[in-house]
Amino acid sequence: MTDSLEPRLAQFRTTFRRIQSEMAKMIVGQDDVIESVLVALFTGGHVLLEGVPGLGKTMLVRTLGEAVNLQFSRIQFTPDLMPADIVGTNIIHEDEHGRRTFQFRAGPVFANLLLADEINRATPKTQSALLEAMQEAHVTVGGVRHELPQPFLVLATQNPLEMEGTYPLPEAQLDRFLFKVKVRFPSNEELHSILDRTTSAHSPRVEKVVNDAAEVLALRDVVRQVPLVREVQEHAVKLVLATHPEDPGATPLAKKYVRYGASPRGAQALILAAKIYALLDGRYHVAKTDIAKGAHAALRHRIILNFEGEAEGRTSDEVIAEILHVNPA
Amino acid sequence: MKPADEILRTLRALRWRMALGDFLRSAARAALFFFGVLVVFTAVAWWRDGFRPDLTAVPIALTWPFIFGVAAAMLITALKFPPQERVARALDAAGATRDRFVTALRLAEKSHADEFERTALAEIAAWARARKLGALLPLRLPRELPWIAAPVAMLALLWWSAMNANAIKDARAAQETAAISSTAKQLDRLGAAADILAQENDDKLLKLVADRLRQSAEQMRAEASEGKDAHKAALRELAQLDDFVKDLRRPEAATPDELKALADALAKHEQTREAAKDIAGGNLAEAAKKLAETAKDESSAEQVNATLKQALDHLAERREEVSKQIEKLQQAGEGGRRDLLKRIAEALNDLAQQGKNVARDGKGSPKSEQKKMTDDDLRRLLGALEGIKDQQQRQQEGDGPQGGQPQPGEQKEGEANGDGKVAMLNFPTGEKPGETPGESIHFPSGKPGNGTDRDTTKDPFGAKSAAPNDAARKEQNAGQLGEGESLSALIPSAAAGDEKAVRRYRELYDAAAFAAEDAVTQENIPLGARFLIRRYFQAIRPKQ
Repeated sequence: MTDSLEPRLAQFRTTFRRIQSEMAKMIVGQDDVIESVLVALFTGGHVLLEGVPGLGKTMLVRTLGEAVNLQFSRIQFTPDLMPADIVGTNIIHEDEHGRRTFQFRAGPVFANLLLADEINRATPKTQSALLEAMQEAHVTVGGVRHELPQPFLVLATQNPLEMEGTYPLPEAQLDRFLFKVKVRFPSNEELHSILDRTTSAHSPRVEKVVNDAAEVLALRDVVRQVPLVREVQEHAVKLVLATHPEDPGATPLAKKYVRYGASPRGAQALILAAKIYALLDGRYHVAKTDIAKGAHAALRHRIILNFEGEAEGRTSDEVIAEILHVNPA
Repeated sequence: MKPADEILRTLRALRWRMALGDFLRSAARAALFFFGVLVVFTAVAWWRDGFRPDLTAVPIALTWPFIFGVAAAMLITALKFPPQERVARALDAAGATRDRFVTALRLAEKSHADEFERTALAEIAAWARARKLGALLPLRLPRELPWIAAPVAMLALLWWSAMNANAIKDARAAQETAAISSTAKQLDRLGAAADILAQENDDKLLKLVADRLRQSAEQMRAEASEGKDAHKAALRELAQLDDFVKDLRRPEAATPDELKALADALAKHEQTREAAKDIAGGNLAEAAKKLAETAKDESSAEQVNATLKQALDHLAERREEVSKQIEKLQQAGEGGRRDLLKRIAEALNDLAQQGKNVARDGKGSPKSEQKKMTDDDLRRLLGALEGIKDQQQRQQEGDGPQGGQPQPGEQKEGEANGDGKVAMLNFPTGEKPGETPGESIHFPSGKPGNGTDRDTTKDPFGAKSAAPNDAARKEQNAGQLGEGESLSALIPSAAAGDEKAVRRYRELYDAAAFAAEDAVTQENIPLGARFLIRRYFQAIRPKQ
């Protein structure tokens, strides 16, 4: 092993695990959620968190911001929220000489970590304001393009129960999220731990693991260098193609209940996540098991079920599970 | 050594191990295939009923599929020697290698690996060094090997079945051969006697008869040795001999000499010359046609008729001369051949009749009795032949037939001839060979009745009753074998007429519907049932 690469890889693993453990101080029993959020952070993706209110989604993002020492902002999406409320707007500024000029006032989107709380409550027009920011990492206001700070991570939340007065995210916007993570309700023991930590006099304190954003960006570069051979990449392609009902490799559930399969972004998400999983496993190459590990989070929001599937209560997770069973790692 | 070279060397070493595993699998599969082929061939041979397995060859037979399997496996393994890529895939599939070997192989093939790839190769080489990779490719007995027991068991069953069948067949052949041996011997002796007689008289016809008798005996023996029904074969041969003898005894048509004489007579006249040519050429039908045409011609009819009359008179004279000569020969004891043929025919008839009776009655007489009767009849036949022979000998010595000595065929039943052999060709009236007196009664039902006469008619089926109606048709189908009469009647159905409804269905429905509705509304019908009744009437409602 070369001397120059080994410390960087070791640093990545150490940093990742430390952030994980720091977040676990505040977030109880959501280890897979924490890991998925960190994977998204180091791959440059965004995460859609789905769960009922009160499960610590906001706490999760705030804790992450504290641990990685990144700028954190939060937007509560409401039906009357306007795009300018997100990206910012030009206001008239009068200087000491009385001259008036337009000056751009940045919106809350200009942060490293953005929590879009209850994103499905805003109108599609407002939701689409996030599209450019999430994909291109910049916003355009008044014909002027404004670059977003890097790293830029959007953590959007949505409530799966209340559907009245909501605007479900369009497929195009869903596709821009690297992962869709389901935040489950804590178990009995986990609930006890939450109560102990939040109702006592001494609340846990999160330490900074990463000093600045540059360190996060440097670790991102390491992730993308992990080698991946074609045979392993073929597995990711197979999984994505198997979600398409018209594909020969489609599984029975996919053929029956899926309207649209995963997009190529799904395959990208699988590969990028797999590289991080490989590094975390102490390897320097991607294996098929790494790809399978992130399949549910990377593909579940990219599979659109048909009416029959919705009517029969099928979920995209069932389709993915069958695909993984048919195509073992 | 570089990590890439180290990994490639490891994969090369494991190729031979994988090839050995492939060889074992291929050998087992090929052996299974060849065992299957052997089973198919054995089954075909067994099915064709000519399979005689040799127990001493069983080990060799069981060895050949293995030898062929090994040879085929060597060929297959040589042709499909596992490449390194397959070894890498097998290693990754066998153990928790996390796709290390496939990745290493691909990275090692790269001419310029980057830093991260070299790091990955080093990690994989270190991982491989720390483990026994041979355990990931274990050499196991092929799964197909136990399946070889199936074709071996099938072979054993086929062999056992064939040996069993052969033993039964041999026993039956011996039984059948023993059953017809005396019959065949009698035919042989009869043929030998006929042969001697033919040689003594230089009679080609008798020689032919002798040959035919010997052939029949050989045929009977051959069929018996094959385990076929010897009695049936004996009956068939006897029937054929009977036909043969009848053909010999049939009055001859005009001989070639006679036809030549007739042709010569007709050739003397111009009108009948063409017909003479046809007769000489053997075309008798054409000759008759031409003679008929010639006879229509009045001018030549008289002359032709005279010629024909002359020719026919000449033929009649010759026939008369021949008849006289035959009569003289018969009177002088020269009728031996015709008598012999007659006696053979009668004896064969009796034998055939016996066989038919046995075949029809089934349980009427056991086989042993049938055999006994056949032997007896043949003995009589032989006795007749011996009698003829004695007669012939006496004739040659100048002694004519003695007045008090009965002729063959006239000999009394049970009376021994000169050699002490019995010559019985005639049977008591109303009895058949193989039947005891009284057994000749034939029951239509196959068994005697209960003694109660159910009808006054003598018809075993009872008196014929009148037809069911005028339209009935009765048919009497005579059986092909004349085994009795049968009666069949065709009875047309009662509603076969063209009757039509006298009331319109709608009128009938309307009348019934009101009544039904009234009935439904009554309180004594359960509410649930009312719905069903309404549904029923709705279902039979006439279509609009």
